[in-house]
Amino acid sequence: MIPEAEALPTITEETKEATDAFFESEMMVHIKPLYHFAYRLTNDEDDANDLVQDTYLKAYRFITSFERGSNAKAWLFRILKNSFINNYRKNTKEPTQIDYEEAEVFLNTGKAVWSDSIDLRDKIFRSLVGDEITNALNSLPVDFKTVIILCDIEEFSYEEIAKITDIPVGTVRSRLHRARKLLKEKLAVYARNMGYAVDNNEDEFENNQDITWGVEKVTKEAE
Amino acid sequence: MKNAGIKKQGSPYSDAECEAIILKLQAMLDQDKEVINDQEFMEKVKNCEYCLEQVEIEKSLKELVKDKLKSMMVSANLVQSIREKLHFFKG
Repeated sequence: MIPEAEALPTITEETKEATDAFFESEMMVHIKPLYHFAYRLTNDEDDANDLVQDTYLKAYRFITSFERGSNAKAWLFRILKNSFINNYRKNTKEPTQIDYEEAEVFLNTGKAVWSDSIDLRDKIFRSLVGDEITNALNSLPVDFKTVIILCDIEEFSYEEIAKITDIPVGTVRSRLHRARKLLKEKLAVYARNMGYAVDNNEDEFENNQDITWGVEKVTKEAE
Repeated sequence: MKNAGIKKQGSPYSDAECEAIILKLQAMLDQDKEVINDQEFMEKVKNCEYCLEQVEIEKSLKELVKDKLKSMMVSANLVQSIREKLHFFKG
């Protein structure tokens, strides 16, 4: 946790030079991944820039609370994530918390059966362009989106993600699982819209419109 | 938990077992030490055709997200702007 400002030691003149040098070498080198994270959270270049700047100002202000030798990148990501939650999230239309009940209902309504061949699914995956992936990712609840970004894009370990997001490692594991399941559903919808036929799996869901991507049944209608 | 998630036709596992396995397979691909050090689970995966297929599925999704979203341009002004604000903050 970033302690309250009053509880922090101040940066004295004697330590200022060393602090500045440390800040430059250990903190400033993470601007690019921080910007990536900020942009993925805000979906806006200006907001992302503001968020990164705010993060660095807070980092400098609270630099004395940073434990030397620990993970500077994870520390910065944590500040950025908290800033986003505090300053930006309240202005979005996203729910303040994941509605796990709602997500669970969505995931359990029989829309998540994947039974196509690996090669074919890989082909479908590869045919999706960046915008479609971005849109699918952005449509996830922010807490789901956050763990996917931290894990798959920034390649933080579960322990690091737990520290950044203030949740236990076990929750990181289960949240990632739920997030990926939901992401696959979103991508399945995009694939269907692209012209990949998605047939009902009659064994599982008789007389419904669920997406199953059956192995032998899937054909690309667009071609 | 009927129709709980990713389920392959003919899978030897129940839906609940599938969920638990896939969660651990994802953790394995994420290099989660707890799972990697679980020798019993790792042996189970090696000897399970269904599990190996699921590994490929999860790997594809993980690589897809990384490949499509990784690269992004950072404004050249951002670094300069941060330095200016820090300079102002430092007084």
